[in-house]
Amino acid sequence: MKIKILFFGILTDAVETDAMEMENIYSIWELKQKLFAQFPKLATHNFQISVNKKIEKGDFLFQHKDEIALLPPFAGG
Amino acid sequence: MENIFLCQGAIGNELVNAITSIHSENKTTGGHAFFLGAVRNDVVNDKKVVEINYSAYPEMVENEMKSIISEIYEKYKDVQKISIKHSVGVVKAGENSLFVLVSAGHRVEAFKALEESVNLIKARIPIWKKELLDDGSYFWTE
Repeated sequence: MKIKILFFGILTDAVETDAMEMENIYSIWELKQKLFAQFPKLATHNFQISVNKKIEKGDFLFQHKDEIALLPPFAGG
Repeated sequence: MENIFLCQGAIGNELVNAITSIHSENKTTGGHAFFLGAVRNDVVNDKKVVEINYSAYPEMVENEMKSIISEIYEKYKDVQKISIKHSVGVVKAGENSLFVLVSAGHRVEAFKALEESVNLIKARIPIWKKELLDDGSYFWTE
């Protein structure tokens, strides 16, 4: 199973990219564990997570080809 | 970029005029209220902001903008038309990055709907800004 992960704002500095693909990650909880281990700086930032453009507050089970985005606090205007 | 709410670079007078002209076609409108957000050359630790580079999650911007507009129409029945444009990419200090135009039958609802629209845009639209300072350094607004 493959998922796409998008990073925005200050998080692009923490992971030094704006997108990546991951395999065999099945939930938001699991994704966070994996990302925090790989990019410790990421854990120092606040962010929300969207799955297919919808913000998910709790844990969430992914499906193949889901688009996950890590969204730091919005700053439009 | 095919996104009716986003505009590459600063929002210029031509775009503002074009949108305002479209709103003016409705002869039952009694007033147009607008907000034009600009990039300030704030001083941060003795350094001046020279430009902001805006980035966005375009598909989510579109979904959220449509939701906000629907909510405003639902709440303010006198509002006839809302147009919103937000910049992505580089906007220099003094240039404009957000345009919101609300047209209504009467001024009271136009003003109220405008203020609420701008507040909702700031709270809910996935846009981020990287502020470039005059010594070449930058910071992300959070």
